[in-house]
Amino acid sequence: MSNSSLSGLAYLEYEVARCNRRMQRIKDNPDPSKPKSNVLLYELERDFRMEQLEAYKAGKPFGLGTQTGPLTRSLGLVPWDAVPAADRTHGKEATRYFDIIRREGMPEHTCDRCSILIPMVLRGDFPRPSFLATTNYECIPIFMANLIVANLLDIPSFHIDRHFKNYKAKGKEDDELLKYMTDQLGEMIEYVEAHVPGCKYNEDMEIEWQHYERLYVQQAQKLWKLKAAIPCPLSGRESFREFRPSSLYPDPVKAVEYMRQYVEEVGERVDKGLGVAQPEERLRLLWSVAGPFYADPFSYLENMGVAIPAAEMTIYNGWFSGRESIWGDPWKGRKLSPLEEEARQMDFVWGRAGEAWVQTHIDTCRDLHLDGIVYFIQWGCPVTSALGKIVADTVEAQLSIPTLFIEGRMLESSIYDEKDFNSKLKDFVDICLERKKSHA
Amino acid sequence: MITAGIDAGAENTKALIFGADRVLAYSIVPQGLQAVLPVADKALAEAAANAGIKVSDIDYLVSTGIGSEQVSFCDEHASESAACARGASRLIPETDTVVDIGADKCLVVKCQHGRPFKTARNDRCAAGTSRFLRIAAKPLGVDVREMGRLALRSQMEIEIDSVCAVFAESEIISLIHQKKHPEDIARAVFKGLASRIYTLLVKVGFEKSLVMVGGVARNEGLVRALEEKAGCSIMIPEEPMIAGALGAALIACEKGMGKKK
Amino acid sequence: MKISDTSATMEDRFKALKESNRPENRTKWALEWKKQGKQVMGLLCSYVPEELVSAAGMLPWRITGTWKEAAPLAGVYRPEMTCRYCSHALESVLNGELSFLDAAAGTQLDDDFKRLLDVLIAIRKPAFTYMMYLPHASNRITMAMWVKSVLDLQQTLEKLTGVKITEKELRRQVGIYNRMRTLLSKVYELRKRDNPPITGAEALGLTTAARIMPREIFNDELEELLPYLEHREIPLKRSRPRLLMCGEYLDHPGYVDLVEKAGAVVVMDDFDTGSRYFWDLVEESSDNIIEAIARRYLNKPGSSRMVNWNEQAAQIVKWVKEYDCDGIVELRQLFSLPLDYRFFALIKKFTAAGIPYISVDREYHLANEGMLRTRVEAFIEMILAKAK
Repeated sequence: MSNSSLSGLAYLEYEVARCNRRMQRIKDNPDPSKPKSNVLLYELERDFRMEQLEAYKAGKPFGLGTQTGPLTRSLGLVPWDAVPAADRTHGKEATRYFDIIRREGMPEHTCDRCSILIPMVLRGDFPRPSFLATTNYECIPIFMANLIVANLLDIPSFHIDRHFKNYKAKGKEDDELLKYMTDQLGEMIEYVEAHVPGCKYNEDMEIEWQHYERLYVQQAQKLWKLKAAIPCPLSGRESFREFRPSSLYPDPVKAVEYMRQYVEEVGERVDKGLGVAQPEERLRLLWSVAGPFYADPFSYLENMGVAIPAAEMTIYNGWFSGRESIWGDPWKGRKLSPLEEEARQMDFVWGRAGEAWVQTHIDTCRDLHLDGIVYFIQWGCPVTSALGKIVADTVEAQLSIPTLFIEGRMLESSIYDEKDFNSKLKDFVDICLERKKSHA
Repeated sequence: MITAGIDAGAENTKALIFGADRVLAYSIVPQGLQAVLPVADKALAEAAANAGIKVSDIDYLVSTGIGSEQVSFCDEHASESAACARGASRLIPETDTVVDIGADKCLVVKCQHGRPFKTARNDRCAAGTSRFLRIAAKPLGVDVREMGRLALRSQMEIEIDSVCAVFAESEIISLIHQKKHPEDIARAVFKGLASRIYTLLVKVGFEKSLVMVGGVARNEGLVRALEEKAGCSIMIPEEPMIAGALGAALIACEKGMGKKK
Repeated sequence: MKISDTSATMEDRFKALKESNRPENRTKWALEWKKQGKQVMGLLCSYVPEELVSAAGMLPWRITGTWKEAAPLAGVYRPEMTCRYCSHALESVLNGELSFLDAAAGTQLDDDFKRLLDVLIAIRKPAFTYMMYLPHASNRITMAMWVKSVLDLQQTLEKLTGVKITEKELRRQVGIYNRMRTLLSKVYELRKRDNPPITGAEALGLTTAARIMPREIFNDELEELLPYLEHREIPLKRSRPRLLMCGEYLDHPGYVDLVEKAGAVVVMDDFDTGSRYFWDLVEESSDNIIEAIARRYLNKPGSSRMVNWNEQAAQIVKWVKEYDCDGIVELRQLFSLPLDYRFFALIKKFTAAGIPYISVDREYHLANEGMLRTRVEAFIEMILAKAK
């Protein structure tokens, strides 16, 4: 499991080949229904995996700085992203990992991505990092999964603890909490410089990466407005495409360009009045948290005239809707230092108290004119599942829209029953339509 | 207009013919291990024969149930909650909340004017369904219906503390070894299931006028246990199994209006 | 007020004390307290500094969940596959058993607790619920923020009760709590003997009793019982293996009893409901009593949610040596995730230290005893075979 065995290449090589294959397919056989900007996206993904591959071979520092990329990169680290990497293993591959998890007594009742990343890294399918930051900002499973990887592989790690208060919300900027995070990040930089050979913090570089991050998010803000269009131009799959920060990619200029092109294309679809729901859009739903990514419930819904303009799974809806400050926004009228900026952006919605999680659902439903919420109860994700009822009650009281709870796993498919799942969706669509009629 | 509803369940397929604002006839055909389509076909043919009509006389046909999508010859599919709400409200007009327990599902629907307003369903495993009852009845050496009658004779309350159906089975076996009375064990089984259904009832915000449909509604042991848990009496239609098919036929009346074949 | 009739035998008094947290006795002290016109605060976490709650005139009362299988009302809010303690605690709030609580408090120790507090806040049961920020690591920066957290708790309590928490009262409370900790340590000290005078199940009975009784009454009673306990003898079938038990939110002595009935002597624990509740004193001589309280709570032997797994493992190894244990039995509560993760860190350390270790899933309420006993018996056999 040491760096020298290079077993960690399996996943990266596979991903590089996959991206190349996809680009070739688009070139040979372009599908007009798919965004043209996809080529750029696959290029970005491939370049990132190649960068990781080369860094790993050359023994360059590899690791997780914070959830955001600019600081990671300005420390001289190539980003290590085991959680999103684990997301790619759905279906058979996930079942294979779960066999290992069950056999070896690894955490099984936690959410799929955090369960899977452990054998993925421990067995060397994904490279061993040279540094790991653990934080409680997202959820206990991600925090603990990073902690166990660091502990078992003896990887230098540093913990950053964050408060549950939303200290960056516009009008509620809390200097004390900002300083709390900034101080911890400062300590982490010292720690990394002392413990990870080859790492040196470069502030100028951080400023540059943050600048591109701002441009990138500004594009996403435009996309948010387009999502409000009726009919909705985005498919459920597109709504669920995880927002990857531009700083993840080695070429942020290209990342911003990709986003610009993609938003432009979606804009064209809106101008033409194209929607994904067939034969016509009857309903618009918010799909919350996760879903059975090995199956295709979205097409099932789209064929019933249901659009899924948004997925509520990240902090990012706060950025997109302009409710939360983005990179470079002023803080009480002043410009933040690069490290303070990083500290501000560590304020993650999942790590906050429940009110924020409920509010983000209400805001999204309002912004995008939604008629209901499909709330996926992902096993092992108490941060979302144990608040579902409060979300449902609140949106019912404030917006009179219903919520469907539907339980399952996002990557491991062996217990998935499509008939049962779709039957629940159909039930719910009926209820939403009835409600919509009675509202009218 | 003559309409028909087909409710393709996991264990039985029910077909019902509706005309002149009344149920003309119905049939119930066990699913067995066969494909859905031929069974649905057979059920519909039987129901039509019982009604003294030809299948071709049916103006509009709606299917529902877990196998609904496979009933390719129907005009439309209806969701289970819509069919259940419609059917139960027709059978018992004061219906507020319906509990429909099938082999693989437990569906609870809160209704408003015969239409679904809110639903909740079991997830994940057999623990909330009639399959759980079958698993539990096996070690007692009785069938589910007998187990229901057995439970009514229970004199002592005992608890089964396993959440999972598989664990519950082994726990029941150990209770038998401890010489616990079968009637008390039976009651504990129904209490466990009732507690799960009760959670679903609270989820939809049930208030009153609770109706139970599906084959298990005839099981006195379960009905008693749920009544105790919910704190109200439960109404059961004369033929609880046909609620879904009736609902589908009623939806067919509405949808078929102006679309007559 | 005395705990029981003075004419009762010492054994009866001990029985009454250790059974205080059984369902039939559980609310007794809280209701007495209420009768005196005082308030009760339900606690969901051993990190909430109880001295402050007491100094505000409230009784800090640790919430035990329903010990029944079914949690039908909590099921409406929480899927089954989430922390069972949180679900059973919520059940006891929703079914009205805890309607006497004036307030509740806890920390955002992990997602299950955070969301449980969120739900209590949203449904306003009890009327007031307070979520306290607890860092998951202890260092200069986090300690300073934790002190602020403790000060925030102080202000919250003052606002809630209208009582000004004076330094004098706070210091008095620290004295009471330190006395409780010292007394419980003395009881645990007795467990180091070859023939411990109390069982592991009894010890858990005592520590859970301490958390729901007015602490002075508990202290007085335990102090009077100590000389008796020092001479108490319990018949043991055999004196080995001696085990240390790990677990979290384990408050049902039946689980410890089960391990003892399987043929082991349970002499120490790493329960948040047991040793970790009373371990380490607050430094009474400190100039800044709030900081001293904060230090004691953040630095006490840690929960598995804290990042210092290696220190936690080292503490357990130290206990294993001090209490002369032959092995470790961990009963992990199903669907409470952190112990599932920490398990691997512990294996690594315990293997290095040559300590036999088994970790088995359990429910929160007492269930699947047969299966658990079989697993523990096999573990005991293995230890005995190794000793031969």
